[in-house]
Amino acid sequence: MKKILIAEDEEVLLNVLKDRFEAEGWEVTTARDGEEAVESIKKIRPDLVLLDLLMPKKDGFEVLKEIRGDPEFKTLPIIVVLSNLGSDEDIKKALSLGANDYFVKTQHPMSEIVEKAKKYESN
Amino acid sequence: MPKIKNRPARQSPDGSSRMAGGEKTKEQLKEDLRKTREELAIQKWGLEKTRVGASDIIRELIQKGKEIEGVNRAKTEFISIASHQLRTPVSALNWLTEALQFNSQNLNPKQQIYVRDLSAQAKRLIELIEDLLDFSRIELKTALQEKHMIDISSFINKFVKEMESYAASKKHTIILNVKIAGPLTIEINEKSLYNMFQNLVSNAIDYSPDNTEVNINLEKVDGFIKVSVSNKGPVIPDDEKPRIFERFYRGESVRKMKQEGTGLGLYVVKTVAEELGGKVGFESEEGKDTTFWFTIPLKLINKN
Repeated sequence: MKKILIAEDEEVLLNVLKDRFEAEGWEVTTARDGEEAVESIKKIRPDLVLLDLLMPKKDGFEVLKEIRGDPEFKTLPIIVVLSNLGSDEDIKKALSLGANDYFVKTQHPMSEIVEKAKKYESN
Repeated sequence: MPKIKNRPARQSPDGSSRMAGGEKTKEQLKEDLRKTREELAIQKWGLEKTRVGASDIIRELIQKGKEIEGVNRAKTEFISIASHQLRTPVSALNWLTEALQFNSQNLNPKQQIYVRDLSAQAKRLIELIEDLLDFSRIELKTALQEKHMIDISSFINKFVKEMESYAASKKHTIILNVKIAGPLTIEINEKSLYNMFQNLVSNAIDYSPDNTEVNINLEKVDGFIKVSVSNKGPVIPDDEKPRIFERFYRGESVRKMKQEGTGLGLYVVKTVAEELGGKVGFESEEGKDTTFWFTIPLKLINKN
């Protein structure tokens, strides 16, 4: 079973994403802040990471820097989650820090996120 | 026989004092001069008071102006913050509804309808929030700072493709007519340009009868690039015309056609166009298409 780590500090969003990914056949691990996300990535070595950019303790950018700085995780697919549409700079910054893709909470339904995830599952 | 007194007469009604014979004595002249000086002093005092009063009023007006500007800015900042804060719960609402729809076989038919309506309402809420955010970005002038190089024809082609499904949902056809030869690159904030097109074209779609055409025209006019959007919509009533670009304004006639709306679309178009040094306007007459247009000065444009 493919493993996904979902890092999101909003409990409701985290739960609904978790349920959806489980329904789609993923093994889901969750993290509620950036520190937990880094730890979990190193421990469980997921096949894919959904990473919220705005999180306590460490934000998504710091997580990206740290993970991409580790040679073992150079190719780990990471999709960043934005709550702000129109923050082109955040998107650019995340992509330049090594994120593979992004989606915007208010704009993308979960079905699109699942589709994106499938693309990385087959890689 | 009347007595003739050899002394100054009482002041006559016209304010002058004269000798019975018309000549003034030295004393009288001195007295006149003193009075005149007094009067002048009083007048000067009055003028000074008026001047001080006027400058007080001007100062107060400037102060009031600043206060209003401050209040306006605070209001816009509030809209911005509130809209940002609304996004998380609204995303949750949207995804939770989607989760319900994902398992909708467990719902009875009534519940399925409720969930479908819930989903539509959540999407509407998101659109309203995005509109408010676009508005606050433009009001706070944060929208135009970041600039991008945009090829206008590929931008408009992509834009029309995006709008086609929306137009089709109202059985409209979008006809694009680009009267500009060759590539034209503008340095502009992409989102703001998108907002301008989107507001005019979605208005044209929303406010015209089904099965009609919406025309988008792009042309060069006197050092400007002019974008016009026409539809077969009803004539805008004369009393609504002067207010149509005001922020939050929605005329009676449009509210009858479409209930929801922030009244910010045209205001955004006007603000962005003017910020760029362009203009906006419209033509709406009986028996003719209704056309809204904006211009952007060509100085923003580098010819490749």
